Amino acid sequence: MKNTILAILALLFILPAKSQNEKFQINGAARSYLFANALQIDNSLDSITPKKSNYGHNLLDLGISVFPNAQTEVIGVFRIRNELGGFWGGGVTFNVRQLTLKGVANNVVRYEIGDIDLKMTPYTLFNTQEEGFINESDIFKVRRDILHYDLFYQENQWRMQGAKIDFNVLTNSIVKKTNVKGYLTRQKASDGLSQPERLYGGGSFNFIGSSKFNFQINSANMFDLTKTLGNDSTKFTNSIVTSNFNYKIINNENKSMKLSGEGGFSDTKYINNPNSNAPKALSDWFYDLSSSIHIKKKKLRFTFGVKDIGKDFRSPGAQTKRINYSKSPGLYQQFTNNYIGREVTYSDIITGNAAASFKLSETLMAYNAAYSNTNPFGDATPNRRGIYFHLEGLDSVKFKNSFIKCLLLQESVGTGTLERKSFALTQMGTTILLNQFLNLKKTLKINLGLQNELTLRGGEAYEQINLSSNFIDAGVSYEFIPKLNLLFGTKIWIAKGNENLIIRDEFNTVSDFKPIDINFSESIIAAGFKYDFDEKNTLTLQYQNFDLKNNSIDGIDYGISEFNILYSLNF
Amino acid sequence: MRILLSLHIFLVSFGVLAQEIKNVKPAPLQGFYVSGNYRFYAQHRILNDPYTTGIENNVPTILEGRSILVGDASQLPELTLNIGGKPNSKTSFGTDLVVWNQNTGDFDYYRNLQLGINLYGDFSTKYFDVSVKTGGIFWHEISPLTFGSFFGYNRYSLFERNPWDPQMRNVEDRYKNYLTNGAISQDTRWANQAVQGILLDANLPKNFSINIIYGKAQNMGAAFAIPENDLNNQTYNSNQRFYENTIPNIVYGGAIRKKIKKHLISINNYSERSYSDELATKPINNQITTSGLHLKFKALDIDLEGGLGKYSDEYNQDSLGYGELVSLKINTNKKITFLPFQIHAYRISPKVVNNNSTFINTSINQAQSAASGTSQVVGANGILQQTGSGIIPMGQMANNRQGLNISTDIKIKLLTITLGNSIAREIDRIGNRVSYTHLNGLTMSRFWRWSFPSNVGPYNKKSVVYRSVFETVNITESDNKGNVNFDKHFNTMEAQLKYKFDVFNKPWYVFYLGSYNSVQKTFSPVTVFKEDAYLRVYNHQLENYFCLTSKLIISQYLGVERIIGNYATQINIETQRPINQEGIGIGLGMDFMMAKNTGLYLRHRYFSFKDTSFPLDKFCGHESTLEIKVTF
Repeated sequence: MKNTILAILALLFILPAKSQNEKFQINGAARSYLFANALQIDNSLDSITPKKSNYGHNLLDLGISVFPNAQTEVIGVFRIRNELGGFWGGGVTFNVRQLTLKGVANNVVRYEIGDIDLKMTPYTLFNTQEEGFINESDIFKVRRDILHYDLFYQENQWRMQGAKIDFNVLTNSIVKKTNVKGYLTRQKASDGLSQPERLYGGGSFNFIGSSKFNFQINSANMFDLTKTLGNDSTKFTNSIVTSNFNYKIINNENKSMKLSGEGGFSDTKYINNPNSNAPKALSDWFYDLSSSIHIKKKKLRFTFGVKDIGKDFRSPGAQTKRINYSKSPGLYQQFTNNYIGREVTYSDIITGNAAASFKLSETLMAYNAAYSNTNPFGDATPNRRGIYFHLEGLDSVKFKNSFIKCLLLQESVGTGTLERKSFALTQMGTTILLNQFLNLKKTLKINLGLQNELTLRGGEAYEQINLSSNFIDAGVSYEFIPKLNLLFGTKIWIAKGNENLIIRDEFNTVSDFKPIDINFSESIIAAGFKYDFDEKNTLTLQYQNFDLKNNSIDGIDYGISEFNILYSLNF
Repeated sequence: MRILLSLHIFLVSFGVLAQEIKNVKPAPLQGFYVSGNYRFYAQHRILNDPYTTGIENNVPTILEGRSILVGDASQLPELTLNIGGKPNSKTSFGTDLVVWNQNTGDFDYYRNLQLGINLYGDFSTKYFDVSVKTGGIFWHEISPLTFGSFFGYNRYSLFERNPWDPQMRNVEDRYKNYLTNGAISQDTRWANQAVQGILLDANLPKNFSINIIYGKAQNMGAAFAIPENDLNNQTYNSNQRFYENTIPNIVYGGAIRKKIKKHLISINNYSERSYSDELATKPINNQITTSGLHLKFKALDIDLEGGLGKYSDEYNQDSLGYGELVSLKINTNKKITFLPFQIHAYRISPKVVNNNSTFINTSINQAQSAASGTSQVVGANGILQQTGSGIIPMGQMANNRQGLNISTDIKIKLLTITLGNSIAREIDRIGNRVSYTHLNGLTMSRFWRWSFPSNVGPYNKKSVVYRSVFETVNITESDNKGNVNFDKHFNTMEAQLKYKFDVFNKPWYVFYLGSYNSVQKTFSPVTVFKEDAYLRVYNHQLENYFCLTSKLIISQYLGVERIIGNYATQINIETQRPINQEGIGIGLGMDFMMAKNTGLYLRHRYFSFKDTSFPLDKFCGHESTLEIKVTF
């Protein structure tokens, strides 16, 4: 902390007191976030938890970008945080949020060193969005944006520490241009005892033939570096090699048609691992092929695809979940008279109380089958095969973000039985600009998002699984005074049925199954006001009530109400 | 190496496309500033007479000899950097980084924020204009009886105050302003209270305006448990992660105001909500609602505020009920009363308590909020305030008291005389304790650096507050419950003389401040100077400031206090006599502007104190401070 503050002071002294010139820029974010919560639970179930909470924070992310020359940028983002109720220096913390060197070497190779953001394809390195939002309304979106900003979840990227390069090569052959990307990051430092140095690296070659065709080879590798423990005993490696392509078959005034796809394989090894459960090697493959047609006059785009992901396909960069469902959320972490850990709900995700991932996990993380069972680990979820289609209506004056997605998948191999689970996931959403229908000058917007998910498995009684869940994400935003919006939103999740949860060990091997009954309805109802100073600066005042009715055996009914004020500045 | 070589050949063979010259992005901020001040503070103290600061396990803790301190202990850091910016024309942010260290050789820098992170925004609509402030600390007033702080009649010693406050271009201006304006320039803290959270001000049609606060006050804060090194955990986002507990401890309130020409009427509210148990089931509630009327005429200002308050906690459930509070101030000018008078009458019920207002609490034992946890830091538990039936400066109000203050200023050319007389009586006969502060209070408070203990000193009678020490005396004419069976009457007379003359064509400022206080059981229109008073507290302070040059001022200070109790107050078993105290302060100093915005301030103070009836209660010594203040 001392170094942080001294670094801030040094930088501030070095820089003239002017926000930007050719040599440097100041950017960042600031916010105040105040909360008041109440836990609603029957006193007979819980008489030992403090039910009311009041807290909050103010923070300033002071980013300083220094440009020593036209090709180089040094970025330092310092976070100063002041908890609500901390007077005269109480409750203050200092952190470094980012330190990055980026630039262009010899006007050829773009590079970044330090804290970097990385993304490749959905099967190699991809930060899949968390559950619980489909075409989300403004009242929730404004808070989710804060969460994503804090956790660096921008554009499906993962924040890592390491280096990356990127350059283009021009050729005069069929391949006009080749874009080369490479990165190497450090996932874990050796502890000198049992954990060797763990790195994560990879890259891609993107061969661009014309505007119609491109072909890319990708590689992502997580591996332990040898000779970083002295005895060089255990070692973990995971390698994924994929190739993907895009080919525009037709592109005229009326329509365009495209073929795209990705396929590849993964290879996971646990070398010299003393644990007898450790598999020596796990290899598997996948493919995902799709065809899409864009009917331009009707502003429609239709995609149809087929995919098969092997049961042992492992891709930590693509399969790591944002939310850690195995940890209880920060708010009312333990509750009831038995002091049990509260399970993560999607309300906790919105409020920023759920534990979130900021490192890749080599094991498949816990998930909530009622929230997501078809693709709990994103597109790269292993042991899935089937078809999908996607119909998208392009934005018009009256409608925006309109889409229907449907996935019909099945397990590649049965889990715990020869019978295989089937999954049907349907998502649809649209934003209706009601003021265009009613000829209102002031914006009146309705956001709608729906999801239906079915999981079925036949067979003997003990094999049968029938789980259905329905999710509604809806909201209204009415700009009754310019820039001042009245917001309303609701999210309702209803799930009923049974599932056989897969229990995995540290090597991702299935070790057990846990039959569970699911029968709950969760809802959030929220209302508030939002004032937009501009696109990046917003003040909101909200009240929301989360309610959980859990009808399963030993299920606990409870609710959490929250009043919050958020003033967010971005610059 | 082979890879690098291959890559090089590859690039050279096929030609290269890049030209990725960086372009500086558009300016994200409309303005960014860094300002602040540097303040070096060093103090040397030598005690000629050792002092017993407390007794632990029957063993006295003795403070003696020399003490050197670099770095101030009173929230005034070595370096303050005010940093701010404007994302657009309607929004802005600011914060203040502070750093100080004690130059112990360990290079251990204390670093923090002083007021925290503040965000501002304002917007206008067809119907109203709104100004929003979030974060904190903000300095704010709703009204004197609801949310504000005491500012009195601007009678204080300049020698005792931070000698650089404020630092002005001309070193003489500080003293000149005090002579001519009756006060030195004050910053935004003056008369305001510290608050965190959200503050909203809106100007409405027809000259209405509203003001709302929601958040925390400095005695309604929170306790924290921040890990020593939090760097590894910067992305874990739980919003309660730094709190020891999140038990509600909030303040809220506001005002609706209507301006009618020069006059103002208002309805004001200030409320507190907390809990005294860890399960947050035993509420501590405080509600104060007043209406205000401010009438401004050519020759007369009338400021009336009155209302009701109700406090309850687990011990004082609803037994207290509502209590009244009224404050009426009338300021006249020479046109109608020959001399300008400031008349202030007030009555504060013993049932009303508000530690964030202009009156202090002398009647209610308040439950402590469970939100304070195990922390002893200021903000979580609140700041220790003077307790008991306090002898307080003129203008300061207390609950369980009604009184009348009359003050006047007489100006004869460069001589200004201000006189004040205050009479007050307790409403209910609660308690038998009387408290008062000391002339050498600031010096004494430094005997207990870094903490604010109560009931310390050789006889456990002294309590330390921010930059002062108060002492408590028990009246022995009380019943078994410790209550006296008569009303306590308080008198305070204050006199101040300010004069400027020239010596060798150089300005010389003389300031005298006298205060004469008594507590007795009968009404008296003026201070009782006889043995009838339970307690008499007198002090005199004489200051001289001589401007040798426009950059150099020599200052001198002489202060004397006498505190005498009668035999109906607590006596020392050994001497069989009540308190009989005398304090002296003699000071010499210098203000020197070394360069533009850079001042050097030297103060030396001889201090002594003795209580002839309580022989262990004595000390004397010398204290020298050197301060260098640079503003930028």
